[in-house]
Amino acid sequence: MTEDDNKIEEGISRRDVLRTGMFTAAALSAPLILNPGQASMAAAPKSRHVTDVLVIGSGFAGTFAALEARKQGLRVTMVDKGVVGWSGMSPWASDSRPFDPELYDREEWHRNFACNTEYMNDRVWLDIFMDESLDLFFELNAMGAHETKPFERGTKVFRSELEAANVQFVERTMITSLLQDDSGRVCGAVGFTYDDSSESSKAIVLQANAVILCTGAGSYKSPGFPIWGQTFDGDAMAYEVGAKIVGKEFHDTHPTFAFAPAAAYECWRWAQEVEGAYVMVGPPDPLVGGLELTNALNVYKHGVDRRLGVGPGGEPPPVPGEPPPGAAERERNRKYLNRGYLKTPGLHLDLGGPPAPPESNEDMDRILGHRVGGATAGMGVHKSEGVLSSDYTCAADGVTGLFAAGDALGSMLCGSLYPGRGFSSYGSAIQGRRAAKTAAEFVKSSQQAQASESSIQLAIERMWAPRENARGYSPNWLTATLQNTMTPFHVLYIKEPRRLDGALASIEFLRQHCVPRMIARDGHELRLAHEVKNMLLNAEMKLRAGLFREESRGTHFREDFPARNDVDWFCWVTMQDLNGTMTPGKHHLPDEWRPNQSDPYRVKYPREFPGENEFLQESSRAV
Amino acid sequence: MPIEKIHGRIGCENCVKACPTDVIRMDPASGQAYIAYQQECQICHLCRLSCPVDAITLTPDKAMLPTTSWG
Repeated sequence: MTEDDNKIEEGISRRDVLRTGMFTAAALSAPLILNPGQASMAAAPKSRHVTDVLVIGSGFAGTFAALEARKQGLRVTMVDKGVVGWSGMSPWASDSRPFDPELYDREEWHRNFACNTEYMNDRVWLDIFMDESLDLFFELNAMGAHETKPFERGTKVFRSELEAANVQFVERTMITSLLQDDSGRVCGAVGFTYDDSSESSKAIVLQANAVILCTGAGSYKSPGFPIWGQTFDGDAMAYEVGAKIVGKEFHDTHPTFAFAPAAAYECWRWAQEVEGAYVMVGPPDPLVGGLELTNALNVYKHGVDRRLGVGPGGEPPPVPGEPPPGAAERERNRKYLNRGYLKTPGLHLDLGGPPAPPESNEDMDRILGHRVGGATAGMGVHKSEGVLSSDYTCAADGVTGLFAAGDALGSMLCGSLYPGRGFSSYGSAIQGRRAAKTAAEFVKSSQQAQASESSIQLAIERMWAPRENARGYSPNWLTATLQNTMTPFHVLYIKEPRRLDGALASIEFLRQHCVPRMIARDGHELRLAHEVKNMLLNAEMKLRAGLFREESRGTHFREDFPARNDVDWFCWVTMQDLNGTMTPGKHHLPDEWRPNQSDPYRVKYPREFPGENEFLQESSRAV
Repeated sequence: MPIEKIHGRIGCENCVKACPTDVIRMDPASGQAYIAYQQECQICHLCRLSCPVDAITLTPDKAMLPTTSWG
């Protein structure tokens, strides 16, 4: 044993460091923290489940995937990191905007979506949404989903539907990797139960003939938005088996409060505590209401605006005597009332525009401050980051046996920017059902698949590794370091190659040096370890996609290329593991999705990036 | 402090099931919920909303680890 090793052995646990808050010589010389809960997991119990279709996640996507697969006569097991009914971001979801052909014009929806998402949205997926969303609305209505508060919908409606359909649940289980047979076909998953309060963690082996990822999105658990259990788990597992991941250069920009950023719930109290469904009235607007990059850009241009009363997205306080934002849109949408699906009793109708700010309360303002965008660091655009399925079947490109739906599917329904309200939960449900139909056809037409016992054993050993490591890096430290690296606006939103490269060097070090040496003292920390591993992979994808896309568009802004470039970048950016190297690629889009080239630039792209006009004047790339 | 206390517990386990980040666990000895991993609380309010006896107190602040150079 070397002298350094001695010092490490004499080191102190992270818990001791945090408790005392003191530096000691041992701590200073011991970058590897001892694992006080180090344990051999070789004899940990295993639980095996065999099914036809494995659904990972139980939000809108997972619920509708599981119900559809049961309708197709297949055995279905649903596994969730939490408890079915509380899963993912679905208890948060309030808005819906079904397409009713009696009220709305299909071409208007297409035009508005394309302009708002800056022509990166998938128009076939939008057609699928418009074809299926009204039936879904009435189906949810018949289930009783419009008679509950949003957070109760899962427990009161979805869970009982799933139980009645005899879907098998495996709960409070973190899935860490997908199983493959010798041909590479996905045929199950491995995970563990993290709640070791009354019994020790178990390995969970789920064998299936098809796997549907309904794992949602993720963020870096930034203290600015409750992303709940979502940490890009589906993207990470799909990437590891060779799937293409799309949409990582674009961002979600939900707001929170300037002075109490962890209190984001207060932005949504109105939606969470209302009885019933919020239903949007009117078509998507071409620009108003989207989750734009505006506020991060305002910070860049003007610094943080500390005035109270500034609205979501950073817009200025309402001017006394002038109509509030969205007033004209709300007036315009009144013509749709009392028609079609809007005649359904018991709905909370929303005529559109930005959500009304909380009622003015000076005490509240002093505590919380104004709302600022960009709270969900790391999250991409709803429906527009995740596993690529270029044939609209929800089957992962290039990987047999793997399907995805909802925010785990990179459908690009919403392109480079979430275009208003009301598309996410319905999009998830529609895609879940579609994924299950494809998966059912696949299961019925293929042989049973089986992973080898040695590959199952290897997956389990990799899963337990942080419990067995005697010393290393704690997942909480890795998460904090990830947050500090990726969250600042000058890395995440305002991109420039040197800053992106700097962050990338740090993230690569964390992935290569620290992740294999993570320690977990119990089941809870083991979950955190796998979560931060997935978040770090996402960070590398976001940085590489941001570096690759040498233009600005939607929520992706490059200081050195501050304009849209339809010649070189009319495509989505994919990330794929090729021979161990994260490799970016271009997925070109159909020419008929391009903006009308004869339109003036500002008609095609009404939003203006900082420095864009000057860049266009100087650049031969000006369109 | 995010989730600050659970006062007036009835052992129903709703908050344990509702918490998406494993902050709350059941104490096998007492059969009651307790705050096990407070620093993971994201103040999403699901525990409070799911509580039948309004036992849970939340605050708008996040518990954060001090920044250190080691892991």
